[in-house]
Amino acid sequence: MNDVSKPKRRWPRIVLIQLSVLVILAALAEIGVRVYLRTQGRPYDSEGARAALLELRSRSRDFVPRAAGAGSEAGRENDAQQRILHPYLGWEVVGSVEQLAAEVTRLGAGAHDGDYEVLIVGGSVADVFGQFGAPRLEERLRGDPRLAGREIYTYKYARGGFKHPQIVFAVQYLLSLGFTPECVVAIDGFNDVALSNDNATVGSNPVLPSTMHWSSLAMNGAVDRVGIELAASAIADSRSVENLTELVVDSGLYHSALCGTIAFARTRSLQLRARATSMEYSKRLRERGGKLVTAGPPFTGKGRPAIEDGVRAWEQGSRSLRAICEARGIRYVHVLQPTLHDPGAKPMTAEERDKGRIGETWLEGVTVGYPLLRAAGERLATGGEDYLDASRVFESATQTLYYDNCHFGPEGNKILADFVADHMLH
Amino acid sequence: MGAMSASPSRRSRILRLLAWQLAFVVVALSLAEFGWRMRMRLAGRAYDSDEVRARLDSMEARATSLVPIPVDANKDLPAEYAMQAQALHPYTGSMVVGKLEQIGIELVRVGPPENDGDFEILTLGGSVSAMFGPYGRPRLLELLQADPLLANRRIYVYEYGVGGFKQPQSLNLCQHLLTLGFTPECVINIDGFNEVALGNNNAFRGSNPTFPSFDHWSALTNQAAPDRETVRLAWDGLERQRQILELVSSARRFGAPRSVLASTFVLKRLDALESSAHESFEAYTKRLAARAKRLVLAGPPFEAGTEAAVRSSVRCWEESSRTLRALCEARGIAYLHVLQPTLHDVGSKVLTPREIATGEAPPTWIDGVHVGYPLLREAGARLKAGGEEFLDATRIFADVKDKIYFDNCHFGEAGNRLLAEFIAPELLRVLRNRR
Repeated sequence: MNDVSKPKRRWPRIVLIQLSVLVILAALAEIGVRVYLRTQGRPYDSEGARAALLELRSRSRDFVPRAAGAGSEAGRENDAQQRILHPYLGWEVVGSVEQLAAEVTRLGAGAHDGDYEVLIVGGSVADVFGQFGAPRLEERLRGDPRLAGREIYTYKYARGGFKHPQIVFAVQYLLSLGFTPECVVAIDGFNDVALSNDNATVGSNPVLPSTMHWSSLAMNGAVDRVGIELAASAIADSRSVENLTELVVDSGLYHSALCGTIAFARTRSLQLRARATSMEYSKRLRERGGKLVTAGPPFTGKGRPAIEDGVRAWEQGSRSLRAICEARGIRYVHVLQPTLHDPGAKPMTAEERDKGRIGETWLEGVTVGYPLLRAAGERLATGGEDYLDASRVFESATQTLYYDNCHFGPEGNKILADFVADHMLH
Repeated sequence: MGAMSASPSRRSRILRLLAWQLAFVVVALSLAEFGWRMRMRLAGRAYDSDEVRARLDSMEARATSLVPIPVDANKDLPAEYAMQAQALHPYTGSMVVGKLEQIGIELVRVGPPENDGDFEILTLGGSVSAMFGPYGRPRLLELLQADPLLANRRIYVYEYGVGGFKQPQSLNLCQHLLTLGFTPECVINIDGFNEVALGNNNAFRGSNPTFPSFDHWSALTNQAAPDRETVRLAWDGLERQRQILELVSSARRFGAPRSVLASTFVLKRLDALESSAHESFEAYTKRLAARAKRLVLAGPPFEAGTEAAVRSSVRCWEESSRTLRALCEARGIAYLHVLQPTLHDVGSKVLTPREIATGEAPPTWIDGVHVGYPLLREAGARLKAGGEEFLDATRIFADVKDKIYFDNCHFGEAGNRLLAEFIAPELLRVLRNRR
């Protein structure tokens, strides 16, 4: 009997020792990771990790992963972020269709006649500006004696992925519906060079809408097995990102440097894979018959020629926007947005370098395209356009402003809002 | 040793038991197979293994394509229709395939310096403008070249009137062409009818009047809603189809068609899978249609009724023309806006019996013209007062007694010659004023 009972008593001890060893190892690993990160000049910040994970989760809630506003949180399976086909803009997001339906009620003679209405257009940077920069811009405008007593209202119709001529068509369409803004602020530039180059790389004319955003809608969605497999795979990866970030954030595991770092690395890799699959999906759709729809008119090719096409579309688009506005007595302010990888735009912090990794076509778009955009901007300014080069607005900012390769959060947007307000009120 | 010697006998007992079990199963299955066949024969449906094989083939075939198969915008069309087919376009909603090809062909003119001295005219509008190309252009060129102002210049006409187009489609097309590098010296926009007729028809069909013509555009958009849930539904259907394929393959490999029992089970399972796949695909189609209708085709909210719809269309027409003029002026391009004549505009022509017979139109079009043409003329007068070169051509056939129209809005060579003769002196005046 004694022989049988002895081993039974040993097991709890062994299990306890094993557990203790595990806990000690985990604690040592946690300390080791924290020490390592500190020696690398990047001490672990659990709140920062939480914000980054939430941001990744938000971005993963779209069919084709894309940038979302810093700190903004889209709901699971958020319909408002879904893209739909639009006859004049290529695509539109569901949320803005609803926004338009709500804001159409402001139109017509009546209570809002005396308001000073600002219409913000552009791509995702302008979209994020609508969230973080517009309140500051409104505050500055409200403080000006020339606008004293007038309600300042901002129409936010910038869309992630939009580039010229979509921005012209967006303004024109809103005017056709009866919108009567007093001022149009276009904040653009990055998409016109980065996404135009992307387009050319996959065989779509650079002046057509971003193929990654549009082709899935234009080519009848997911109509064949391989297409659906690719779409499903991209969605599965996005869902994994959601699940993982949810687990880490909700359970408080992000307080641990070890868990936070592992979760962050894993979500980043899943997101990269989802993006690659999405590109593959776009390519597949294009192969299935993009000749007429997504390829667009013939064009020279990728790289510099495509970027030049994008810059020409930007310049022609801005010329038209100015003409549209001047014909109606609307003030038009054109802002060339700053971007992280434009050499000399900002001293990059270690965090920005880490978060701001960028694909080859986008980097080429920025490095080749931004000097061309500045040159075109000068031509526009010489021609009398109210053009504002904001590509150096963060030139002397040493703190972290960007949270990915082209978007900046509240602090950067406040700086940009002040820069725009100074110009507008000058 | 006792335990050792018991083992082989226990093993042999187990083996015997298994053999009995197997034999029993085989006998039971044979009896069931025989019984089932008898039952089927008595029910007047004698089992036919060839028929089962055919059904398996058919199910396999059905499971190898995604159901439903949406219309492919780029599918091969017979040559005679290919150029007239509609394709999706990001900035104009729809576009005639022939025009897409034409842009590609005419882009070669953009850039080369040998074309710099040409006087290039870009014509815009709907189908009436498109028909002005073959029938009105020769007379227009004849009159322009007879004038000393353009006598020594080669004139090239970019014809971009597109059937069914209404504003802001023509405006967007113009901006698109400018973006691509086109540099016309003059833009002639001939429009008006589609705005009020098709705009009203849109409202009747539940689509915002400022959206592209419902009939031209909706067919291209129904499949375009691949959100997560839609992909999931399609994926579920495809999964069922994959299971069907695997089961069919296994059934064939193991000779299931030879057995009524196996066939019954397999076919029952296949039916269930196929029904589940159909359910997924039906939900997929419904979701596509619902999303397309609610989010894509309807457009922003609008007031119901002909009067409101037409007013909305006329505002869009006026705003678009204002913009077209601004785009042109910003580039030193002459802009001439022509309000086209149309058969159902009261007082625009004394109709012949033949024109009355061939001029039938849907009520929404006729109402659109009746309500809209006076509004277009008013808006045109406003544009003109604002400095636009606006040309009201709605009365150019007022005194013509002969047949001009061949349907409810289009006219042939005689009408287009008259239109060209109306436009040419005005265009020359505009060009002279600019010098």
